[in-house]
Amino acid sequence: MMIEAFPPGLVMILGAFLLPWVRGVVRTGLLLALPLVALYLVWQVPDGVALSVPFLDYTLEPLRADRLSRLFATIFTLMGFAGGLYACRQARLVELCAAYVYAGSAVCAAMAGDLITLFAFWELMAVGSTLVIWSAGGDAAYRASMRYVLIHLFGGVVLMAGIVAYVGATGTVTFAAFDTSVPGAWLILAGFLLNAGAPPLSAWVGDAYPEASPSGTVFLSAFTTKTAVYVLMRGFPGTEVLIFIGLFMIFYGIIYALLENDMRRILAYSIINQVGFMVTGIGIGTELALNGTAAHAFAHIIYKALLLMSAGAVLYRTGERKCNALGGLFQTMPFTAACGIVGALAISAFPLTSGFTSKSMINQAAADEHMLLIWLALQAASAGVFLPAGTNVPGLV
Amino acid sequence: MSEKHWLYREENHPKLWIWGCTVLALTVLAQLVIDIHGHYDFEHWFGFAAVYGFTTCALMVLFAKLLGFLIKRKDTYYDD
Repeated sequence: MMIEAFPPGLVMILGAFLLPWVRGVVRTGLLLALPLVALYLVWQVPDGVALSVPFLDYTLEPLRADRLSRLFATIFTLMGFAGGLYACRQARLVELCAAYVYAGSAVCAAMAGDLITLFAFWELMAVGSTLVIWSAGGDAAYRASMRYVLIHLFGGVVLMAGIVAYVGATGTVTFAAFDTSVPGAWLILAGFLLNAGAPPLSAWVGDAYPEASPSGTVFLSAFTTKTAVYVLMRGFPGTEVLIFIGLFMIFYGIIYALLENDMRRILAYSIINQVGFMVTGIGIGTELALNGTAAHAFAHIIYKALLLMSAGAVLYRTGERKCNALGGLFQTMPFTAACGIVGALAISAFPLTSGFTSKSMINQAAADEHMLLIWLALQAASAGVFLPAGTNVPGLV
Repeated sequence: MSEKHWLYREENHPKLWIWGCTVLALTVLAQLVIDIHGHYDFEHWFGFAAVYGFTTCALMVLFAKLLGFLIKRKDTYYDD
């Protein structure tokens, strides 16, 4: 098999099973090397279908690349590296293995050219992420992981039913923009949206993510919701209902974060808020909106990881996660505080940060389409993100 | 650490408020010298962004507080 035809995500998935057999420096080296090798391979895959496999009556395309899939596969492997670096000294072995299976599956899902491959890696992501939460240890993490897996297995069943109905009606397994006149497409949309944290099942994000270990939360924040953004971008660009679902998510994230006292739960709610901007962008569906969505997903993964790493460092040092019990850490943890402030500025779309550019693109796309009310809502929400994210994070560090 | 950082010292609080408010006022006044490329006419009204941003944020906080009365529970609600 040519190197260009090897699915890059498999490097991380298979590599995860090697981790238990090595120790010390070799394990750390392997941990850091796997995502970099995967990243290299992502960029070796030529445009188009690089690998096709016959399966039953269908032809699977486990490896397909274009600019969009390469963008998401790139940020997923980069986050695998950053997360591995953050986790390598203190995470449990089972968490590292689960996180790499999870990250590798996200890369494979981003490069899947057909619905069956996509579904397989989609479910493998659910297994990996559940183990990441569970591996934090303790009763709270166990219960949270069980609630999490129930929701995601349900989402998987909905997605599976949608795929079967869609393939039955159209006869094709190729993963491209869906024909929404086929009923199966709406079940697929529901399955995708569940992983994005869309209503009515948004609560799992704020419930499960804060129960993972500090490094586990960093991994969790990057892959599940952003894979959902990727598949929505490819499958449902310009589907109008997504605008309203996205706006609901934006305000849900802000309002619930305002009511919350747990710093990592605030950040989990702000994931829903930020993914809401992306879902709205996909619903608008113009070139500017979709480019803004892709850019926002890329930037968001980085600054949200930075925020969660800062919060994780605070939790690691103080053992405290409630905002009202923290404060004044600026003096004892100046570097963490600086990182937290940079992340908070980016998520608040402060000028000169990545979030400013990408969020402005989505807002401008709404104006270009003369969607006055939607533009007004997006502007209000852009200002409102600063309320929980901008006031709590620098406040506690 | 015995000496408090100047950010946390009580006597510096008025100074911080004055600096903060000055920066906010300058961002609004900047509209006098900077040409705004707004899509809608009302974006060119003086101080529109500041007034709109403040009003909507205040409404969001108010809504969150009202919702809090209905659904908020103590942090220890689920503890056994």
